[in-house]
Amino acid sequence: MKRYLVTGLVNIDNIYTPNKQRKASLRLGGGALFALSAFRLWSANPLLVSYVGTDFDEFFGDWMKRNGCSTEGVLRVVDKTPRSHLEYQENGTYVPRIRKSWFSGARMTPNIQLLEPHLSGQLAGVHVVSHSDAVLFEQLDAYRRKYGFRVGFEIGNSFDDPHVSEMISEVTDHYVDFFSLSLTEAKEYISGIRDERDGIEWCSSLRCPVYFRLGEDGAYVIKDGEAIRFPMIGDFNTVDPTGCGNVSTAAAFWAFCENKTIEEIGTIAGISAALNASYSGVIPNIEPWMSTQMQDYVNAEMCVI
Amino acid sequence: MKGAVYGTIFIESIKSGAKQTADLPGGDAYFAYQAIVECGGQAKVISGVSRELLETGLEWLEEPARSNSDLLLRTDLGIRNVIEEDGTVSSSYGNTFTKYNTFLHRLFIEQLEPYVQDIDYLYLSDMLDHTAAEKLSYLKERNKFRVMWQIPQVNNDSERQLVFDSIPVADAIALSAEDAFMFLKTDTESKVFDYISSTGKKAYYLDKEGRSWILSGIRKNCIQRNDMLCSHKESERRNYEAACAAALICSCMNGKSDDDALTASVSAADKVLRNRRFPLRTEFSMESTTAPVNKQQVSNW
Repeated sequence: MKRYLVTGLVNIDNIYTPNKQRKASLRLGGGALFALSAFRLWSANPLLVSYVGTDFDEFFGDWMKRNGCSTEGVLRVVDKTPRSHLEYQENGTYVPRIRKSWFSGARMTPNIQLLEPHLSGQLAGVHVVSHSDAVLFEQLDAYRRKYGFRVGFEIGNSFDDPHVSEMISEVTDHYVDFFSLSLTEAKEYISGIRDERDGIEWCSSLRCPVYFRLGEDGAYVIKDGEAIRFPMIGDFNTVDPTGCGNVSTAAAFWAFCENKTIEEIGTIAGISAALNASYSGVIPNIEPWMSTQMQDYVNAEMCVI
Repeated sequence: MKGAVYGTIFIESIKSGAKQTADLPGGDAYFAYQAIVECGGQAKVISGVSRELLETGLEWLEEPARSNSDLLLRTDLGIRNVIEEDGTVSSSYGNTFTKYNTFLHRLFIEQLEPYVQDIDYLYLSDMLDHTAAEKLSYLKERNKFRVMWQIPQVNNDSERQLVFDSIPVADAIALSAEDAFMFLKTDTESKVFDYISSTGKKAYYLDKEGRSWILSGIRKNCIQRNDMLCSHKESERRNYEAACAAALICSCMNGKSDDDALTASVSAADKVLRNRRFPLRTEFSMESTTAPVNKQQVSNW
């Protein structure tokens, strides 16, 4: 069975309660980790390929082992896996605080040297969860053409990249098969996007399918001239929305690579996010009943549609 | 003897009054490489680069060095700085993006392995944590090269401790008075000399008056200084230091005495910085003596 490669940032989240009253905990985090959990939910045999610290095994070893995820793709290059700081608000959302250490975390952004040893014909898809330069995707494209895997791209913090808009156009035109961003990111990165409608119009102009996220308002899957909205699924108790964007996007990309319909893509993404939100941080134990329950939900939804 | 310079290359321009230079190469890797060449040495550059830099042209990196260098394409846009007249540096693409881009251009020590298999010495100026120092030590042993480490600026006690812990991996070190005072939490140069001596390393030191020193061996032995002053602007002190450090290890590895190595390094560094600033060089003056080296035994540290 072909596998999925997930790359991006892995970090340890410092969680602060509202008004910075209390640092609640250290928690496993990073877009790539949440994306990895999504592929694992759908039993997709994912491989995490990321730059990490030598403390990776201390913090992540148990989780990786418990959830059947290989560590063969992580490269331990610094002492400490980067930390992020998330300040939770009263309404349950969080604000990431950029500290000085954030920039050293930027050094962990994937590049082709990191990915090369793991690119092969055994891959069904490569999912990049990181702000990246078009150069990475151009370099990755040579392998994409050679081995036939698909490439997904969930953009992140652009660090005020002055040509982020051009980068997205170039990358989606030529180098990736699937793209995702949030409405908030679209408003910040693309001039002229003021609201959901502008965002959909812009996404529809891109050459590849797009998973356009609206936060707690759900998401759109935009593909083959269609734009279908999928509201947030509330079947599980919502405890913590951290990582839902990463999980839903990764699940959507997996479904896309598995040639699911638009309806299935959107539903699979939504139910994955809902399950993620029912846990604080990343799902601690990914168990068989989860994928069974989610598949049952998807089947039920497809029957309705 | 073949050297390698591991660091950053970017594009700069310099303002002076109403004038601004055209694009110039900048970054520690540039100055270090050029100084080695100026000393008659052979070297290559190991660096992440941008497409923008490559398209601007690497005329300063002549063949065969260009072909033999390991320039890893990492980004479209590069790092583009403007040095203001007062010495401050502004980034054409904004400070946040430039800082991010700078990190994208850095390789991890882990990634140097394919590029250091045929070298005799390596210059670098990166902050080294324990993981990096351990890997560098392994590469050194395996490939038998020497390391000149230009000690980076430290901003806190954690970084200070990392520097202390990593110094053993270097064969030679370079630092300026400004950085040394912060690193050692002192404002006394005798304490800087004391510390350098205690490491047992050969060292290049740029003192607060802009004079260059080579310190070698245990306390009170073999200390030379050169009275050709680094009269370059504050923003270029680190560039001057990089050039001197790289030229020094090149000269020492090629068998020069400490005297001759220091003279060659200072001369090379000065020439590299001056040549880069053409056509504005007439606006900068140099104070110098004709005496090449002033040997001085320091006996009252």
